Amino acid sequence: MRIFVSLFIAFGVLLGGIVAATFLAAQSPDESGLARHNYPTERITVPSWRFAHGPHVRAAFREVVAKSRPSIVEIKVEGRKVALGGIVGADGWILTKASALVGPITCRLSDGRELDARIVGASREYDVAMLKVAAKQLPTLVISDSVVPVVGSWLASVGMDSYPLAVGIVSVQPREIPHQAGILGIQLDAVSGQALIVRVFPGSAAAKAGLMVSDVILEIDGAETPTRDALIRRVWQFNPGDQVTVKVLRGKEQLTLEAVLMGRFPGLMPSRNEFQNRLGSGLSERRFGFPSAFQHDTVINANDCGGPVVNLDGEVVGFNIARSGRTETYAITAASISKLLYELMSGNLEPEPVEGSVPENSSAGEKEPEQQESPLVPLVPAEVP
Amino acid sequence: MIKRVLFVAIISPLLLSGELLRAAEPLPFSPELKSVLSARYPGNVEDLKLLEKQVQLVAAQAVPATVEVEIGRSIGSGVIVSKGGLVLTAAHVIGRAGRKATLVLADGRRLEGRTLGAHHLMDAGMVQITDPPEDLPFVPVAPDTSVDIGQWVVATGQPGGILDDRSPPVRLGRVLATGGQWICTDCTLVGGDSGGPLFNMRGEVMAIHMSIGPEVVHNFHVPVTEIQPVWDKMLAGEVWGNDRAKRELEGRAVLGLAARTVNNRCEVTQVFTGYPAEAAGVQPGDQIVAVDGQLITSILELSAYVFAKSPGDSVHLDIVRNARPTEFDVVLGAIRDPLPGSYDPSSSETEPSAEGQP
Repeated sequence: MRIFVSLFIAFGVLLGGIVAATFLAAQSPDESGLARHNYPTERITVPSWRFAHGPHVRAAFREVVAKSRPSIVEIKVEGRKVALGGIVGADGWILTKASALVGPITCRLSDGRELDARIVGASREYDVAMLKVAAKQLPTLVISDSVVPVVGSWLASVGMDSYPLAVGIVSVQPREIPHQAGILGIQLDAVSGQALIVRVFPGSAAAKAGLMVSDVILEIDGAETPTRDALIRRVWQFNPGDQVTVKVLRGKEQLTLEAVLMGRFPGLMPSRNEFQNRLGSGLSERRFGFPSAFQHDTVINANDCGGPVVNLDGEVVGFNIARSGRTETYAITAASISKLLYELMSGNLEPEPVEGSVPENSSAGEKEPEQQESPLVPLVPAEVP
Repeated sequence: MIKRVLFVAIISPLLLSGELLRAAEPLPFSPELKSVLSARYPGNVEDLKLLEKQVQLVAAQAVPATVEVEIGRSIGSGVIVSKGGLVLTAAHVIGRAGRKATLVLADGRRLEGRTLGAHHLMDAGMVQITDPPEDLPFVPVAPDTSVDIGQWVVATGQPGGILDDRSPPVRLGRVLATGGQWICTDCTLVGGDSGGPLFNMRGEVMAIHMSIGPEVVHNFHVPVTEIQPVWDKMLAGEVWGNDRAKRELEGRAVLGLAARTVNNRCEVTQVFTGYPAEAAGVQPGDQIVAVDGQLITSILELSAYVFAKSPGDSVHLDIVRNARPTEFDVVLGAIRDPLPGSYDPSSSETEPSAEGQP
């Protein structure tokens, strides 16, 4: 069998400075006036065995993933795959990525059963959640919390097939992954000192949540936001991709809305850095701010996060938690998971059900406000949480 | 092609704190490893384990010698290839000769340096560390041997610039294709990796990261076999080839105006002195209704359009002024200092350019 994968290169993107915004490397004539290329300009055919992470290489990992494969679960929300998960308790306990779970959850097990699941515990810090399905005697993963893979070690991301879904190596030892401030996408009244919305950016987290101009934000995820500054500080504590409950006062009515924070303003062009990081692979919404994770170079889809990674001995050394950039995937360590497991199962970390509902006319927030003022390049970020 | 081996790996093991070997010595291959490396792909877990052991050794040698290169506002990567402090990097990271450079080691040390020569068409350049410390880690450069399609390779660099407590991320891949002047691998790269090293399985630098394409398997590197024939020229501080970096430094295209959106019209609120919009005659109060024949209904649309252009490009503006249509052709300028009220992430690291910007 010879599978050919086509490698078509139309242009190259310079990797250097973070300064400028010109993406295309021009084909310029050299001194002799002839156009010369230092990257390919025509279609090149590369056989699939040649790829470091191609199917032939992955086939060598079959026995590496054989032990954990029956414990892999596909997590679906409204029928759509949002993540992978791993069975950590025989009575239907499944660990997965928390921020992927927005809506009613079903789990497809390796035996083909598809079961409804509920969240019994979640850690916002690590972005992991414990799900429970009604099933018994499921095959469970053995988490090897004493094994820390060194830089350069192979890792296989276990999927539901006999081959791993992807393979890669450890790029960086476990470390704290820096936090990045989340954004609601609103402008607040600067005069009153209250958390009073004067503008909702179209397409923003706030617009999608149904926040409207003149709403006063009272609480974010249970913490009061009596002032403008308190709200800004509160929102910045979260990461892009975090789902937060927003309690607002609209007229005389109090409403509780759900918002998924963003990392940048809608409508603005992505930065050069973000543009490059998004080339060729989708990224997880929640991909910053983990207390401890190791970085690996495995290319996975955002909805392949939440499942275990194993070393060449087949030991579970971590769980994929985010596809974070073109060069990086983060996995939280087995040691962190072991510490969290019982807490997540205990019910102490059960998320509170959301009170209230989104009013019918909530889509009004997505309408463009009649007047908006902005300088040519992005708005002053400090003005807007 | 004239084959010249201008660089010979210096074999001088330096023993640090009694055990740390930081010599630029090519790693040996066992016969078993040799057969794994020359196979089309690993066949089983034993093969993978042999490969893994070697990748770990290469990584251990590669990481300490990988540096972040800071030149003005430009950030890239590089690799130390001599005890004397010679750093290989990309031409578009250094720009030109004689510039002040800061090199940040994986252990956090910041060393001063000066840019030497660069070949812009090839996209390779050099930096000399001014005062190299005794314990400077460095790696050997691959001798003048050909690049093999399918060979296993390791990439390091500082993607996105240096981060506290993050050592240069190590990536594994294979040579997918080569065209003499370039190597394409599936070691994923991103902005900031430019100038960083690509290693063969002996831990020798075999190429320098150059650019990426739209897919994750489009990662391009300049092979050192191309650099070696011009090594001395570069060392002597010569800069030649098309100056791609200059275009980079010229920056983002701007009109030089501020505007707001009123009733689906983009209304100019301010025209900045010295920018193209002013020179073309755009005035505050003008309503920009179209650019290059494309209707504009908000400032964001205009920003997005201009963002996609390059300095020097010309745009045609349809404007309504005092209820009368008028037209302007504006040659876009380059953003230099951040405009009032704009957000420029690089503004905190402004350094007066020795080039003297207009």
